[in-house]
Amino acid sequence: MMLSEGLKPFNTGLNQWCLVTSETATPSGEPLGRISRDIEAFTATSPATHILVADPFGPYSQAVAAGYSNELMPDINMPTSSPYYLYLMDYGSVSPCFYWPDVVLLTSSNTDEGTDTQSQNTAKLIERAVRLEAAREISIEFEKAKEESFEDGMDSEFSRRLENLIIKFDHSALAVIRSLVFVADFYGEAVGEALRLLGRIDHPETYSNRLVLLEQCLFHPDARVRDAASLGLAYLDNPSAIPYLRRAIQVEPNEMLLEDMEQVLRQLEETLQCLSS
Amino acid sequence: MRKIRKAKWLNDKALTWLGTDDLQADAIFDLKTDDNALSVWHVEDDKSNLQVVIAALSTTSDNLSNLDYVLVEQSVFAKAGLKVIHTRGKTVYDEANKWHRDLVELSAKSLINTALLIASQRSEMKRLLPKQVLSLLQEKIMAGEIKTAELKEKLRGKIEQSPQ
Repeated sequence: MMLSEGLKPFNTGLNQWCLVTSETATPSGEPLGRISRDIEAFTATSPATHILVADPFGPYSQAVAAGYSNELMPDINMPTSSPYYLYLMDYGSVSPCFYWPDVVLLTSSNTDEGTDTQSQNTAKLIERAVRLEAAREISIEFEKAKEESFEDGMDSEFSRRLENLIIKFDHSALAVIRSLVFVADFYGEAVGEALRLLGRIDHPETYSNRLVLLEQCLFHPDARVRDAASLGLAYLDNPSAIPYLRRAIQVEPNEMLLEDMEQVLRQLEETLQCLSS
Repeated sequence: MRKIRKAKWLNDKALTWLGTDDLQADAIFDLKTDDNALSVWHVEDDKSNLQVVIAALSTTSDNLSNLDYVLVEQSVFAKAGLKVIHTRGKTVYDEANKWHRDLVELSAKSLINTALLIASQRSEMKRLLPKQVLSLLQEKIMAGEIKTAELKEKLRGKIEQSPQ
């Protein structure tokens, strides 16, 4: 299938995306419908469910918008609603005024357009799109988990699904979990379950990032998060966490938790001794 | 003795809305009743059967995990008017099942009282880390008291791949 040059497929692991850029100038006078048809053809032959528009104000983007929402361009007679998630990326210049449930705006305000090439910018935006996708999927799981109760040692639907998402999204998944724990100031029992899982899963690709995240969580303001982090570290059993645990113990105000952290520290010190003997 | 998740029983300064003699509502989920009965285990005063009871509880897990528990004096339950009866445990560690008990005829009010009694014993809330649970289970398996084949798949896998 011949696609317009501005259309590029890519896969994030979970979903097939269609990237729409304006790297190639649109031939003047090209009917908007042609690009919409290209996207239709692309999505018809691939499992794409997510469309990423790199320049929401370029001609391609206008076409996508035209093709996928009458609300955006009411004068054009196109399907009224999109079966796809549509993501619009803004290079920082203009704020669009799209109020549409499935549209998410990605900004590139912290990309340096002065020195970066457009393709580098696009790569960064794609990375951000992957993270956004991870955020969407993982947030849904955390929401669903509010209906679940957790017991140590027992499998939960939440941990099963979250493990799959960590495997699919790698470091992006960890970035999302970090922001749920720290930035969103979100606490549900699911956070504790997630941190235990970070210690327990067998996924070498994310091992070092999981270790770092658990170490950071030792200093979280919520004792329940600190508790789960120390358990996660007990699972990992990696002596490199010893300095962090020592520091956490020095500042830990909760007596009950202090005792548990000291126990984890002893375990890691024993492991270190075994490794060095 | 009752298996709990310690995090739910923490009374932390960060939980500013929680009174010092109160407990998180989430803790009630650790006291899931069945037919108005709460499953508990009897531990001898000298704690001579504590490891056996912990091992029995660990055999019910899907995965290798920490085991948090609380010890409450039986007399505390008796004073609160809670009725304890002998009911044989249903774990694969047959030897341990005789230590199982049920707190029975629990109303919602008496369950909350039980939770408050447990919360007052925070110093008796203990934790075995996953590695300690693993070595305890390995010890009981080596002694022929627990059969590996009777454990759940993931837990069995973890035990089989871990050096003794």
